Amino acid sequence: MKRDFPLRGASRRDFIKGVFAASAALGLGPTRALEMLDEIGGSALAAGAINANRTVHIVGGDGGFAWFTLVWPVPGTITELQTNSTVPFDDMSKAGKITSGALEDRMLYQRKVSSTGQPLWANYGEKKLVTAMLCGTNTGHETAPKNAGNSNTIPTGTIGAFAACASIQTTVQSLVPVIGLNRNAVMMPYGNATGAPSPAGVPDANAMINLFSSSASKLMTRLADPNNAKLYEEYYKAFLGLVKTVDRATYQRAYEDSRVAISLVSQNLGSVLSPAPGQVDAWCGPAVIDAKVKEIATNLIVAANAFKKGLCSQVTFPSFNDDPHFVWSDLTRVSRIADGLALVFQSFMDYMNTIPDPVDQSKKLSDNLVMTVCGDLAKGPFSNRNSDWADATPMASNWMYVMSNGYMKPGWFGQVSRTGKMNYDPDTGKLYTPAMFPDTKVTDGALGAMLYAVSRGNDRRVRDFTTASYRAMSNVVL
Amino acid sequence: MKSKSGFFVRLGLVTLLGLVGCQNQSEPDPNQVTNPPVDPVVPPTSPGGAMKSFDHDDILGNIGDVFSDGRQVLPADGQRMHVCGKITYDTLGRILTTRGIATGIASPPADSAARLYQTGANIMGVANYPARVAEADRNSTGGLTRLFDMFLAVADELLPSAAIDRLGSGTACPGTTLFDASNNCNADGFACLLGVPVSTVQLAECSASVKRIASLTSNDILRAKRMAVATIASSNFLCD
Repeated sequence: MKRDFPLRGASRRDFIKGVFAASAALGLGPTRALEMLDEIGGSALAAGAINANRTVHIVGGDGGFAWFTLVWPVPGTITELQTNSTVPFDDMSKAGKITSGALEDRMLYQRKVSSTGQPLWANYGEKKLVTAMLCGTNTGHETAPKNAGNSNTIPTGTIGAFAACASIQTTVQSLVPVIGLNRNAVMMPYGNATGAPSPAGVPDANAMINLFSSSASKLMTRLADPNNAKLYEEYYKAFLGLVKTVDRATYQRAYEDSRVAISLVSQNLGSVLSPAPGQVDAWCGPAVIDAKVKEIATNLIVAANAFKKGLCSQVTFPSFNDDPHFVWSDLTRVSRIADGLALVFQSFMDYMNTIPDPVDQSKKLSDNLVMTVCGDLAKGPFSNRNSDWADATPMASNWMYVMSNGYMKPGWFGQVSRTGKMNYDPDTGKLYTPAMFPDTKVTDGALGAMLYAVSRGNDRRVRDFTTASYRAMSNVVL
Repeated sequence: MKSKSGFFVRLGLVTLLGLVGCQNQSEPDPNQVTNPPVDPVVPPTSPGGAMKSFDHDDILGNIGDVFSDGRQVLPADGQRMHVCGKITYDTLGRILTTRGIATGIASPPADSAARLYQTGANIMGVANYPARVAEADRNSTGGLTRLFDMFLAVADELLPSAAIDRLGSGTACPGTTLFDASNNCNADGFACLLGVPVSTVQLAECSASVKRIASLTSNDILRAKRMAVATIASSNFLCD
């Protein structure tokens, strides 16, 4: 329902809080409060009450981040590719130049998806255009970038950006708020932030599924036998009726939760969270023979299914970790992997776009998602691909890609060229040399902008983690 | 068609928001009564006794009337203290260990209570000190799911067969068993497992449940006993 509602900014948030408080005082649940907000001020007001997005963080450690520059290439690489075929991009015709007015004077290329011939996520309009921000420095090689100056730590407070995201996301009630897939027992970067829940570290997507599947639901001697499950539920309720606090009002919420838990402990969620037969193949296309692409597809499918069930809010996983120095000798393979990556991302978004958000049924999960891709180093965007895709980047530049769902302005902030890099002022967006504007200030602002997107445009919440300005990147006109 | 309840809910919300708004006004109300009359109605007192609750040796009777001597806490504090709290992670581990379930062993077998305990620390809300987050004092749904999963494993491990009862292998109550030779629930055994005496009604229902489940499962006494232990433990350890 669309209605004009006069309150804006802090007043609007206070009103929403008031309705939730009043709803609680009247003994109504949050769903009823959302319905009331929808009736009073329209769906936009109700949506404002869900104040955090779900996030997927992809970490391309050990140089694996370089593969993602084939999906979102450095603009200078494409410019040079017209006259110099040795720069590391496989096919000029696959670099889709974005011409949206939302870019203002910035540049952006997104790889064309083989199945549509259109740039990645072109069917979703401007909201899914990626923001590429110079952020942190080249800290390779690291499996999970944690060294000083990396691209996921807010320098002034040494706050982990993903932990800060998780702290913001605590408003989205979920079973296991943060899941981090490990790489050879190394946890992905998370860091610390006030109020952040502990991440649940698991070795792979299968273990992620097991996180939600109880042991009892898998064993016939326990609850895998439906008769046992039925008896368990019946007798649990019977014995709960005999405990001394059964009629106390202050215990009723816990009893309600326990009834949900009893239902969950009997369920084997493996079949719900696992990829459907053929789904991974369809997402990867010809790249299904490349294990790393297949792994990313599997991780994203399981993450989407977990979001669908409201089981978690944040998933972080490693990708590639293959230090691809000499991959260009097999150009066919490079193209296949890059095309596979683009197809996987497109398939992921299309799948998320079919799933209603369990927290806000008026939206799809694709509307409430932020994705980031970062790594220890992106390899030289001007390297001679015929010899070595070298580790060094111009002036140790590093960057992060963010699909912000429209909360950030798209395009490249900062420039990377063969001769060096230009930093930017996160307050104005103007370009400066690193000597005039240091990396630390840039990183603070960049990660602040990312938090702004995760918090769905709540600057006050971002201020709990950084004081840096990020005005140049924030997009207040949605 | 819109329901009447929707109208009343909206009315209630608006009224309550209005009241909150009025309270936030900075100007004092000149008509406000500064010394409201004292409510003469004495709230009813709850009788104690073992039938309704665990009787702490009548010590509650010596406290006096908290409603008349001004020693009662604020309603918000009272509610917080009397709500269903979570057993701390470490305490749960100690309880299980002293009842014969070694939660601290290295590399516990898959699906064992120890494995579920060790891998469930985050889900059960342990403190995250670097993030300055204290251990949760309420159970989350995920934490409860893991707790129940664990007690199903505990039941299996305390009763590995119909004839073996390992409750007494712990240090809490050596030699005590959960069931007697007639498959009736043993009051001492369940008091040991739960940490409080079970009521007569609970004990009778426990023994009856074993017989009833056994009759429904081709006289599978082991399954019946395990089910009784898991359900009683789950319902009792739900709150601290």
